[in-house]
Amino acid sequence: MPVTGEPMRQVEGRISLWRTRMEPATYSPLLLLPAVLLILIFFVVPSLWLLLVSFLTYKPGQFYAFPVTLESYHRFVAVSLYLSALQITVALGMVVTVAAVVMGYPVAYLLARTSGRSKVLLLALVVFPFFVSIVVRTYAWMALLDENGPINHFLLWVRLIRMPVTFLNDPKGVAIALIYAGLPLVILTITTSLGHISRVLEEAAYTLGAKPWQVFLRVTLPLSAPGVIGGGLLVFALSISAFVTPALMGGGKVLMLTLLINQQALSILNWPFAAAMSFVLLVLTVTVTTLVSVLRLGQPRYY
Amino acid sequence: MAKRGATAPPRERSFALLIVCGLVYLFLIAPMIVVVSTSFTKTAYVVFPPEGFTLHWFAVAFSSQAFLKSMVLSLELAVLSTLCTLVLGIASALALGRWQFGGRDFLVSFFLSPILVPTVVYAIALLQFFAAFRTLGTFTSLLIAHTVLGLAYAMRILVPATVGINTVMEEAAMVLGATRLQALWRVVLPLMRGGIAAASIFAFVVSLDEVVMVIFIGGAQTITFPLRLYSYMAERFDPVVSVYSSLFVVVAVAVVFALARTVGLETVTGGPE
Repeated sequence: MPVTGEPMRQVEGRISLWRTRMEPATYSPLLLLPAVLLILIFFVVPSLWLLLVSFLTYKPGQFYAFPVTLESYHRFVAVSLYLSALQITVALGMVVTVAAVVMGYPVAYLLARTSGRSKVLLLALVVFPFFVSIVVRTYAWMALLDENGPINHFLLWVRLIRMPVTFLNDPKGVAIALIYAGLPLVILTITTSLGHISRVLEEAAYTLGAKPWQVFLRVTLPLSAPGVIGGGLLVFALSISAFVTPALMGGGKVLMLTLLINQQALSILNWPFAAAMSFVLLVLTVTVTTLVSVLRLGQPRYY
Repeated sequence: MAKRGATAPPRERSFALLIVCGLVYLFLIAPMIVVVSTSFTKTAYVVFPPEGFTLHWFAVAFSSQAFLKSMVLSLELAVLSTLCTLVLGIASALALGRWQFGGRDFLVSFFLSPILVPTVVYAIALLQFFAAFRTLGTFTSLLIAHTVLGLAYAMRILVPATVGINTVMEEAAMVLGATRLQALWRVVLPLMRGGIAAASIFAFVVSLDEVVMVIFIGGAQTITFPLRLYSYMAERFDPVVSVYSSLFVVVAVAVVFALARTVGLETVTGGPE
């Protein structure tokens, strides 16, 4: 039954009222205020403060004091321990990145070509370790990689090695656990990027007589490069800023930058130096993550 | 009759690909299986495959007052920081969803910036900040830190959730006499419920799993569950660790199920640790 008469007139009246008065429906920008204040006060201010502290003088018992100095940064460059920590951090980050991309690509390829329920299941298995606390993920690998653990047992059994390999308190173990932490991110990023590729291009290559490996190397792989680079850079940033994994798995033997920052801040209480090292790490990660967004902007449109 | 294509059909799921993927999946899942299964071992040390079956380590684990207190603390922290995140996040996302001024992308990345910075660096910054106000080691400081982190993850879900809402629905409600607040409560928020659910899950699990921040700005009164486990592990390595770890694994399984049912699993991409 059509609405007519008085109710309809009321509705029409409201429509015209709303047309003149309320359009368009927006929300007050003031709603942003609480969250913006929270981040300004508890993120931006502390970060700027940290930058300032990195230029102050270390004074035992007082954390930091004036005058302004470049001493902390100078110390970082001058003492070989710190430079080698930077080296180890970057080297580990690169190894982890390459390994995670190489391991993640096939899974991403499979995911991009699967649909329906099986895709949800395959995706769930990738994502699931991501939500387990990093403490637990590291613990799992410590149990697996122990000298008497299942992996060493297996390697001995297939006679790949004669003596148990030391993974714990060693960069090898730290690298494996970091690959584990980064793998879900790489897989998801590459899957997204593979999903953007138009299948027509691959089919065209097949029609023109290309073999499957030629199609992969000359069509699919180049077109998925943004995902590979983006995912790789993300894992690199994640790895060089890891703390829990090198602390537990490294057992104090794998001195990454984050561990030295922790030591300076909580044991030695040289806050200006901890702050300076933090900024070195920050510049490194922010450069990398900025690269990610710049590269995403330049992502080609896939026809 | 002409053949339709001269080339063989592309075999994209070759045997080799499946084998490689199987191995990577083994790499992804085996550690979690090891964690759960070793909590039932009869041995006094962690061994895989586990020997025998016992619930002894569960009894030991759940009789530790210290751990139980930490669990309660962690749950309180996670629930409260999730609530704070939701209130702040939904309000901001509503404003940003219909944003008519420039700089929306800037504001979104402003909210995301805390997770683009390494957690260790942010933790050091807060250490110095809270130390200056003598509020290190308090529950409130930790709650603030977790809310900032949770908000970053939540905004990444909530902003797209509000942008996607068709204004016509809300306008229709108001034409029919709903006030602004009624339209929000009965139309807009229900339309966002998938996003809100996913954002809460993220905020909750980020807080529950987080340990770096607590190490730096926590104190004797704020030893959360993951921190207690972290310190315990650094000294001892027995099946009790597996029992506590299994709890995290169970939570993660629940989270994945819930996410799959709300926003889909593709939304999961994180920042540094």
